[in-house]
Amino acid sequence: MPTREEKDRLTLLQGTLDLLILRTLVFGRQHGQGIARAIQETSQDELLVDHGALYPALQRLEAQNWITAEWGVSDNNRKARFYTLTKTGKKQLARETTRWHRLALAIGHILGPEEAQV
Amino acid sequence: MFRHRRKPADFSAEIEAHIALEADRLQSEGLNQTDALARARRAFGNKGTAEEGFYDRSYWLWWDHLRKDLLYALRTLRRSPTFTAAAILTPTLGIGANTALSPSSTPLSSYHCRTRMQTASSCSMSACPTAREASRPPISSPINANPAPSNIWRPIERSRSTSPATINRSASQVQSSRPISSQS
Repeated sequence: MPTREEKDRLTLLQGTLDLLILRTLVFGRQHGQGIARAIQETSQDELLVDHGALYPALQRLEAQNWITAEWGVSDNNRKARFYTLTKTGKKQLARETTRWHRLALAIGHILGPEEAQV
Repeated sequence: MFRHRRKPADFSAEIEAHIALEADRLQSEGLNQTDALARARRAFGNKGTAEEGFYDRSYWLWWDHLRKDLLYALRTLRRSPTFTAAAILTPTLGIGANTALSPSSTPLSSYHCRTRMQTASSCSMSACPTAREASRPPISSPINANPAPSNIWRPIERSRSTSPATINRSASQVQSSRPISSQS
């Protein structure tokens, strides 16, 4: 059961998880749990990554060759599957980031400044 | 490609690793081991659904379907042995008989072109590439190498040559260029 605190968090828009995963992997290889944690912390706990949805997304990105995976050992000596950003993944990240900024700007234009809201 | 061949067990191991890592982190935040593990599992959600999702997207689904289809076909065939025998024997006898009677190693093409050349005037030399090949004596043709099977065709050629009305241009070319007819 999600707590009240978790309910107040924003849910991710469809397709944005891929972008966030790619962005997180810019800082180096990371395992699934680390990615989820990093997204949550970087968004200052506003975003909650559904752990169950994370792995299909990782699988999708891997199939697209944007990330590669290999088994390794985590900092606290746990076996984990580490993901690394590929060259095409970096290009995709740049493309998607531009697209996202344009989308956010366009939606921002339509919604208007925050103080103009009722 | 190997990444498509990733096994469901590998995916399950990854999920277990995730839960263990999450539990470790929660434990470091002050929870006891049992609570940390329970909370990590809760946060992950339905593990079975995730595994099913992986399986549905993977290559293994396709492979399993193929395997099941083949097994079903075999079971059905075993249940009706008469039909199975007929289905196997028909093409076996058909192919076997044709192969046994044909003179050369390429039975169908040579049979087709020779009969067409001798009977149908519509088969022009340029339109039928196999006919062109058949008209000039091949260097290492099985006809030359093994004269025994080519005897089968001799009576037909002889009978054709005796009735001038049926001889057309292409047939006479074959007759003149083929070593068999010059021997006879």
